[in-house]
Amino acid sequence: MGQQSDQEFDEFASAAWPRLRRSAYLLTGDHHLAEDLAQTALARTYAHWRRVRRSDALAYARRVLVNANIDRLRRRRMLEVGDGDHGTDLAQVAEPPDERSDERDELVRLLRTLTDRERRVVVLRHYFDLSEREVAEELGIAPGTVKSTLARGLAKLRVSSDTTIEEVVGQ
Amino acid sequence: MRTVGELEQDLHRGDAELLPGPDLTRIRARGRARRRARLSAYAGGLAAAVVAAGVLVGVVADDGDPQGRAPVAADPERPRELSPLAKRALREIPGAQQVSEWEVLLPTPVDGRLEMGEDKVPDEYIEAGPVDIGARSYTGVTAFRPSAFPDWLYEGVQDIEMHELGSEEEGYPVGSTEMGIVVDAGPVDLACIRPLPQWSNDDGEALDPQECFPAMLGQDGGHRTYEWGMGTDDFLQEGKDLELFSTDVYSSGSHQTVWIGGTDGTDVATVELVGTDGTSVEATVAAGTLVPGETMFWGTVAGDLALAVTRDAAGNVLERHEVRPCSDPVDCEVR
Repeated sequence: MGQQSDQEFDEFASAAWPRLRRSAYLLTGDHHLAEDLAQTALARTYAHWRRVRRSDALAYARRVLVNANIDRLRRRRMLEVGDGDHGTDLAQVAEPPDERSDERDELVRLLRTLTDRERRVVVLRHYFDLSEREVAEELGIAPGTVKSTLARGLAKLRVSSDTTIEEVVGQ
Repeated sequence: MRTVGELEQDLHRGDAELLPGPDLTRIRARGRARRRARLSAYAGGLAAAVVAAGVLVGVVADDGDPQGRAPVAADPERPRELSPLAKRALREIPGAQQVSEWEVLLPTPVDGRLEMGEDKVPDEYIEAGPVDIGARSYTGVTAFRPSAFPDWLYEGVQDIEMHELGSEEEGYPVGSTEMGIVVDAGPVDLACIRPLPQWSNDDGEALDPQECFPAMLGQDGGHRTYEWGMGTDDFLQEGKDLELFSTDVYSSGSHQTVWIGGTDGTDVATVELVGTDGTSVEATVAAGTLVPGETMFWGTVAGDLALAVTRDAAGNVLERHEVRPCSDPVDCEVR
C-alpha cells in the first residue's frame, strides 16, 4: 500500500479509535477485549482499505467490530455451553467483570444485564445514532425485532422518560 | 432512572477519557497479514512469493486484480454483450469505442484520477528509462473524480460496484471495470527504478537502495507514478527461467497484449514471441541497457502467446520458455 494511502488510513484510524474502542467496551464490558476488538476492526479495515470508501470507513469498521464480537460470543458459547442456545445473557458467559470500570461506569454494569442482541441494538441505535431501519439492516433482523429489542433493553437500562421512549421505541 | 438523552450522554461519556491512541504499526501489520493470507489462499504459494519479493507490494489489489490492467476479453465466463450502461456510454461519450463483445473503452478524461495510493516516483529514483513499450493503464470510472463523467455514468457504475460487485458487509470495489466500461488512464512506461524510501520487504526490512528493478510507471500530472513491478524471488537470477508479464492494450481498437520479459545476463540478442496460432513477433531487446547486467524485452501480440524463444547473437537458442498456464489474476501475474 502506498505511503499516501497509509497516511490516510492512519488519520482515519486515529480519529475512529476512541469511538471504536468505547463501543467495543460497551459491548463487552472488558477493557482488554475492547482494545482487541477495536484493533481487529481496524486491521480488517486496513486489509480492505483500497476497497473501502473513505466516507464509509467508519461504518465499515463498525460492522467488522460488531460482527467480530458476535463471532467471539458464538465461539465462547460453543466452548462453554455447547451448541445449544441457552440464553444470551453476557453475565452467564462473559469474562470476569472489570471491577475498576464496573464501579466507575454504572452504565456498563447495567449493560451487562442485557442480552447480546439487546446490547448491540442499544449501542448501534444510541451510541452510533443509527435509525431503527439502519440497525435492522446492519444486524440482518426485522425492524419490528429492533423495536421490541430496543424497548426491552431500554427498560433494563432504566430509561424511563415516557415521551422520549415513545419517540424512540413507541412508533 | 434516566432519559434517552441522558443515556446517550452516558454512552458517550468514555469518549472523552484520555485513552492511548491505536497501535498503528501493529494494526497495519495485522491488516497486511490478513491481506496476504487471503491472497495466499487465493493463489497458492505464488502470491506469498511475489509479495515477499518486495516488488509487487501495493500493486495487487485486495481481490487479486492487478491494478491498471483491463480484464482479459477471452474469459469464457465474461458476458457476451454490452451491458445497458456500456451501450449508453458507447452512444453518448465522445471517443468511446467498443473493444470487445462486452467492453467499451472510454478516452482519458480531462479531470484527473483520484489518488488511489500510487506512489510518486521522483526522477532521481529512475535509473534507466522510462521506455515507451506501447502499454497503457486502464481503470474504471470511479477511479476518477465524479466531475470527470456525466452523473448517469458515474452513479451507474458506482451503483453496480456497491450493490452487484460488492456488499455492505465486505466492502465494494472502486474503479472496477467488471461492468464492461474501461477508461484509458494513459501510457505506462518501462523503467528501472530504485526502491522508494518507504518501501520495505515483507519482514519490514529496507530494500537495497542502490539496486534498481524493472517497473511500469504511469503519469499523473507532471510526475511519474509507480504502477506495478515485476518478478518473483527468482526473477533475473542466474540459472533461473525467464519470466513473462503481460498487460492488455486496446490502442488498436481491439484487444492485444503487451508482453514484457526478463532474463539473467546480457547474452540474449533476439527474442521471438510465438503465438498459439503459430505467428511470431520479434520483441525489442534491451540487453544490459535498462537493467544493469540483465536483459529485458517486450512486444505486442494480438492473440494468445504460446512461448518466448531467446537466442544469442549467433542464433543459438538460449531458452525456449513456454507460457505458464494460469487460472486466476494473481497466478497470471508471472508467466
